[in-house]
Amino acid sequence: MTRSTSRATLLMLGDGRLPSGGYAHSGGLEQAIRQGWVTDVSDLKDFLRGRLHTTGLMNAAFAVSARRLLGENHATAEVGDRPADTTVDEKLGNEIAQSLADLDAELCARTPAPALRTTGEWLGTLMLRSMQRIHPHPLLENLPKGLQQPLVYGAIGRALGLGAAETAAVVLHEAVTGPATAAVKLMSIDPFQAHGAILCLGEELDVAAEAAADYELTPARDLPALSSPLSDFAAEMHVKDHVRLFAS
Amino acid sequence: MSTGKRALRLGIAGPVGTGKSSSIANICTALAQEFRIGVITNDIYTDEDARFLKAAGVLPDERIRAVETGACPHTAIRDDVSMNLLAVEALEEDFDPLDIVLIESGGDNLTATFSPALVDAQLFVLDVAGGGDVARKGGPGIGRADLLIINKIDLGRTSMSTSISCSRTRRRHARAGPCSESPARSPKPLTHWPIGSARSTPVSSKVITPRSTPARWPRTSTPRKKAKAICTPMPKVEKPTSTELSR
Amino acid sequence: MFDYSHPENRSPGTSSAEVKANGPSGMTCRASVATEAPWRRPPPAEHACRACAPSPTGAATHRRQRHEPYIDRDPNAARIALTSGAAGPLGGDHYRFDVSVGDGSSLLIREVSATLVLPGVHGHPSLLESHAHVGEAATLVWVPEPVIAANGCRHTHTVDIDLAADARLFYREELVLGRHGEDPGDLSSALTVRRGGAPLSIQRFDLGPNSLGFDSPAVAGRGQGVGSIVIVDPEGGLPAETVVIDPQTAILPVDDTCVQITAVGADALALRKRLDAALTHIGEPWGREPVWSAVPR
Repeated sequence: MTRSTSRATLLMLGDGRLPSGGYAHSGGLEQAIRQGWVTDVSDLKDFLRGRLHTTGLMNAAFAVSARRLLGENHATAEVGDRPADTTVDEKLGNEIAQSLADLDAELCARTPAPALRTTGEWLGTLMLRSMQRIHPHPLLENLPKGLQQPLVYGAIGRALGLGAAETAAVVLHEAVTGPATAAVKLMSIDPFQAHGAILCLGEELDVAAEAAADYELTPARDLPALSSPLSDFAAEMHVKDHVRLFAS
Repeated sequence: MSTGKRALRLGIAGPVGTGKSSSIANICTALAQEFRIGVITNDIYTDEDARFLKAAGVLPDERIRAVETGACPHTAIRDDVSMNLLAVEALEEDFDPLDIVLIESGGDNLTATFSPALVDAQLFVLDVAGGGDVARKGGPGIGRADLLIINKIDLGRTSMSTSISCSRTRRRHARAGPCSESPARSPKPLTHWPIGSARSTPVSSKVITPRSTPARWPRTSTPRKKAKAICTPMPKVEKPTSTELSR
Repeated sequence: MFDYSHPENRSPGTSSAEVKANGPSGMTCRASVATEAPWRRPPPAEHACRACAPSPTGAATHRRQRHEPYIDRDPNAARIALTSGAAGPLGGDHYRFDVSVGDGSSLLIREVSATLVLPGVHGHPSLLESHAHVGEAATLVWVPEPVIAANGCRHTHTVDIDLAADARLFYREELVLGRHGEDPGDLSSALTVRRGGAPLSIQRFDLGPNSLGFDSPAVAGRGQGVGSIVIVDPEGGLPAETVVIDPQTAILPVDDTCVQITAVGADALALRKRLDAALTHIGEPWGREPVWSAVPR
């Protein structure tokens, strides 16, 4: 079921003001600045591009995969009819719950930094909690707890009737705009430059969204792993850093 | 959440250095015997306030939790309360039943207000050392506070802020709620507010119930009366030194 | 305009057969190595104290001097070293290497030199795929030398390691972008470690001029060398918490029995030193200089 309002939905999900806790995270940018890896707007653009083509694309592919898992035939109306005292597995269907768990494990195995796994789970929990309030939906109510954020995005894409590429676009957009808006608070750059940096990635974002959508039918074990070692280091150094503005 | 009941959630906001953390320390010290209390701190930089409260020893450490606010403390209490909400819920779940959860905002400007999705009532802390403009300009923080605390009034004699007093502040900001001047190094007015002043109004009667009648709150929100203000000279709380904090 | 395709699984419908299409100059090679324990499993760990196990064969002294972590506890361990000709793989080549470490046996794989990947005459893509299965209570220590992506190459390097539940693994991977002072070619290196079928550590580094953002301060920055080590030891004894050795080297725990070390270095030497520093931090049996470390610590 594709809702005719998907465009508005997309804009709402992509809005940085969506109350889902993301604003407290810089996607590793704060630590990259502290380490001297990012010093000016040009570095910021490179940073965003690298993030887009590694973490962003990988997460988008997992969101698309999760959205696919929570297929149309399933989990929408019928799930809500199950008795309230059944377990999550029963509500969602054991097979699907297991597949989601497997997908989560695949993503965690591709996320070597424990700090990033923790952040991913926390952001997923926040996002799910917010969307349960914003758009009560049986699929979101019955989603297992503690999933990584991209999987939650997949469920939201399904619950809100977004397509695969649209779901991927939201994940990619978030991967880029989070650090870009954080940059305004962290660096001595003007906000126009920061948004200019996002805009120059526009085409790459679109192409990456399509590329991620192509993974829709790919088995979980074959989904891409795209490593970004400096981001891993930054995340681990950041959690040990007691003076920080952003949580990650 | 499973019971549909929860603790009373009190938000405490105010500019940096006005005494939010000290006020919380005092409230905890005064009420910890009577009520089960938890604290969530919101810091600009990591968990400094939480470490201060832990170092002050007013509550068991595990009942004090920090939320990081991404350089934007007012967002965390108003625009995007998701992190604080989860933190409060987790605290309530872990220490069920709790009577009161105090949520301390990161030090912010005069526009800091709490979302009704997060708190049942909010306190706003000012101090006389901030200067007269603070009270004169006012703002949503003062206007929407259920209780306005004017702190460190014993410094008023040496400061220029002659315009800060309960009466003047309330006169100027007609929408402002109760006001407390906390002078005299006595936290009495402050700790009496949740119980005493609350009893005198519908809000306050809901605010705190003694432990004998467990304070479990239904999720319904009721219209609040305008706040009161307390002007209390706060008792001196020994802030730990930075070396103590860094332990 | 953007090429996201990855030889393994770029988009649905891209079969690995297409990837393997060789150029006119292409060469297809296949090698297999398998070990099996002749009679039974090696002595349990409590008897084989790490790194100094007295060997029933009487060769203990010799082996102790050589210090081969994990390997020197098995007197019957097999050791092989891989070598390539002048260079290789070249563009168009397709190499496949299969490793099977039988239950209870131990295998050490080394290389005599770095792998220099050259574009060949036609600049076709090249592929080197390795598959390893490590059986129950078996040990695989695999320490290749760096893979160097020379200018113009389009190389894909995949390593799939399947571990049994109680298998032990040490695997090192070092990727170097170009020879000294040379602009790099394209290198996509994927390492997949699974245990009992479950994913343990999966990573893929896409480096080179056609990999967008590879030199980003979020990915590899200005480093010309990217490397990692995966250690799986069912007996544990590995760091349980992240250790940041320096801003570009970290020991990242996967679980109680598995850690991944990742490092980025300005060149091959800096990379090796960082990886070695992380091993030193882990301590025994890695605290001392293993015999196969080509670069003195």
